[in-house]
Amino acid sequence: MTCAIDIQISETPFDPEAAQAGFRKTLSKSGAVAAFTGVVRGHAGNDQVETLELSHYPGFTEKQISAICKTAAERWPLEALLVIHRVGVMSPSEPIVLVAAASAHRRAAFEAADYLMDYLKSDAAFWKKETRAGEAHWIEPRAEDYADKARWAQSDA
Amino acid sequence: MAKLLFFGRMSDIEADRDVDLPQGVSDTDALIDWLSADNPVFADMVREKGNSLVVNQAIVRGATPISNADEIAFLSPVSGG
Repeated sequence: MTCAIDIQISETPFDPEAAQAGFRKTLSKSGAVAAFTGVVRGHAGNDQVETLELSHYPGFTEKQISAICKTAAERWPLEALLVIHRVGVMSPSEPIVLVAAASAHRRAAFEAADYLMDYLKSDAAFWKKETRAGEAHWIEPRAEDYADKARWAQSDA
Repeated sequence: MAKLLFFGRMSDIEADRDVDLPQGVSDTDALIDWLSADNPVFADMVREKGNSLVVNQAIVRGATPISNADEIAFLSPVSGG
């Protein structure tokens, strides 16, 4: 099955619900859509987060996301994939990322959305700077993100 | 002119810019040495684990030939999407 892949990097806020509704309208063969929205957390430990600033490498980051989507499309029978990723300065509760996967049946849609998020979290060229109490901090990669990604390699074996 | 780009932590200590590569700076190792000579903080940071070096939007490993026609990007470890 050829999978339609739509990747958008947005400098401005986006509406995940409207995007999902638009995504559903493009479908003709699917019976299942799994969508995940990531939002800015208001707290980091005991500290209140004021803003989160995301940067990317224009062109390169999109290429990486496209490669992740293509791998997912080879692994599961998908009709369509949608990835919308914010960059720029965001406030708590604002959407950062939306992934949506559409397939004939639910298992493939759930797994593909989960897979996309794990790879986006560990492999995609995004850098995050969090401002807490007026001070900016770069966010380091988390060991959990690599462990989450590793789950998919194990199930290949 | 070669285009130099810096992402993540490295963008705090080096500015994106177009440069004329001096004679002798013909691969990425020589470029790192050349930039390190002027910026000891960069010299330490560029040797940390988890960085990536990207030439013309493709990840490279080890000394890679470069010229004034190239875009060279230094990527600090990614934070994840």
